[in-house]
Amino acid sequence: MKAVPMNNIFTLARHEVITVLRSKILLALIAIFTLTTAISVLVASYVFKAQVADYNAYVQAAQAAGVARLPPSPLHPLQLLRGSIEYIEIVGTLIAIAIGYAGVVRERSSKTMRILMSRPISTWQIFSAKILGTVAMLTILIVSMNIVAYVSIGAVSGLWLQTVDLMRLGVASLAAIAFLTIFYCLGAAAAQLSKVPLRGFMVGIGFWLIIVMIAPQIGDTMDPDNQVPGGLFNALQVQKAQEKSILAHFAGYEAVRNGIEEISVEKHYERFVFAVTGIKDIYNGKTMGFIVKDRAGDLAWLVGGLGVASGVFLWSLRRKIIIERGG
Amino acid sequence: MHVIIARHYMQLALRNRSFVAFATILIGMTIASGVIGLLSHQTIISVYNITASELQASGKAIPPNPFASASSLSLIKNMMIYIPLVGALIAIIIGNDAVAADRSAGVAKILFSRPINRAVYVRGKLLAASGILGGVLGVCLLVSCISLAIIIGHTSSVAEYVALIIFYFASFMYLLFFVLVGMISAMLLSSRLVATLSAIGVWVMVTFILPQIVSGVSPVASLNPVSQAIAYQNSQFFQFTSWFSFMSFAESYKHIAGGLLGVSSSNLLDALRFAVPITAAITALYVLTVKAAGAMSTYEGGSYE
Repeated sequence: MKAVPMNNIFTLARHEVITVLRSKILLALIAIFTLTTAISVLVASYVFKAQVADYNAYVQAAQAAGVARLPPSPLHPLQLLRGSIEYIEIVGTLIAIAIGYAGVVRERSSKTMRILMSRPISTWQIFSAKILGTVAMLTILIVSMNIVAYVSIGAVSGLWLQTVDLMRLGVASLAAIAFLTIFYCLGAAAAQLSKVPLRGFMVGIGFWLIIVMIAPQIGDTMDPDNQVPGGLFNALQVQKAQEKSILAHFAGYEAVRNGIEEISVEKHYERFVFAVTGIKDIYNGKTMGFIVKDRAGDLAWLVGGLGVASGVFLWSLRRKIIIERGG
Repeated sequence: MHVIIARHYMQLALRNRSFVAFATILIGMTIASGVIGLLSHQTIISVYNITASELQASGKAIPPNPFASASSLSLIKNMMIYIPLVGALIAIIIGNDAVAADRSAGVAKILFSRPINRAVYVRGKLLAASGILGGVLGVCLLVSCISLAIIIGHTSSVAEYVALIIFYFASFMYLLFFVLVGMISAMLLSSRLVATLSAIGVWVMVTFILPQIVSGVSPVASLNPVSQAIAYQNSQFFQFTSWFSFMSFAESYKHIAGGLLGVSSSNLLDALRFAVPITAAITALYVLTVKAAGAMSTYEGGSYE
């Protein structure tokens, strides 16, 4: 098998990153995204600060009353990232689609593809370079977001993230980069396949609306427990075990509801990352190995989604090159 | 003159595939909201009945049915989410396209070489956008009524139909704000992508960021028609940010919509909290759009992508 010259790929990938960094639009978008995340973490940190104060007051009162064994703190700073994870789902995906679209528009206006085709570079190399460049950009984006989150949580709540938290944050970040790459591929493929790129962008927005907004929203609002503020089962004073036995009567309904949610790769990303960061309480204190094993299905969806989106993008790129060559 | 401008754009808009696609999604979601509402309602009533019989069998007190006095309109409560979600994107597309179409075709330069008042131009575009938006929401209203009558099989009272009409009127006002955001961004910004993204940025700000700052509502919780209790909402931080609640249109819309659809309670004061700021914002944006229209006379025709 012929070896793929990595130099070509790196050069093209570097070009992708530099072009985006020179684009005022995309830089503005990235700045807005980081600011949004900062606001989200700051708001959560203020709430967390109040929770920490309440917990400390409880500990003092319990110690003064002579209570020897105190329950462990239920407060976990990584849970403050819930808002920023949700912004990755809502705003980050939009930005990824825009980056994909902008790349195609730039290529069409500067006719870069024709220049590339006049040189001994394969479609596979062009594709690899684009993915590599995008992953590099998304890494910059997610890392800057994490720095903002780290400083905000520590400075406002007074609790700094520990090494184990940072490792979990690293795993969540890898998942975020994979998740956003899916939307980059969709945005780029939609623009590539449309005669008018803006129409492709609107197709991307349509995908985003269905995958990110509508499918998870339907599943969420069909949840019986979400029908009453504070939860239906809470209102009916039903314990967790009894709740499960009641819901067993509605297995069909629950399967449809869950099925609608599971159509969306966004829900799988969310479930995996909520488990890793301990936002889903049952995963707090569990090892990473256990979490990955328990959420393997979600991880498989994420990897599968990335595979399908990359495949569509590669196909759109090949098709474009064939058309450019007059095929 | 503004009627001619309006008629011209209305014809163009119906050929815009993005608008047609998103309008179809909204109408489809209106049908879906009836089906979802019916399925959810039947399930929660069954959940309540099973719970009640289990509690009775174990000799415990049965809590009152939380849905006993629910309005039939609450079955289509998802509409109060689909309108700020899909409806707002349609509004942005209409507003943006109304101006962008003239920019890319070079019509703006020709139009403003003639003695046309900028306010007349903006009024014409706004009239067309309002007509299209009104048409889409009118279809949604009709679909909602049919859903209530056929899918759900419920005979709604006159008061409920009046509430439904007011709900769609409030939705129209809310979406008009985004039409103007779409128009002004297309007038001021040099690329169509930047204009579209900026308008979507304003939408993200209004729909997700402001509610989080003002009330601590998480972005995904904003998409649930049933508002969940938020911890520490009385903290100093939220006491301060609540001063800006008048700017959080999405929340005040959700509040008034929830009241009209019988999901939550709202009163005349809540209606004013929505109506006054949104009317003020629409008026201010209209004035700014007229001013921004002045720049259009300098635009060259050709690529506006």
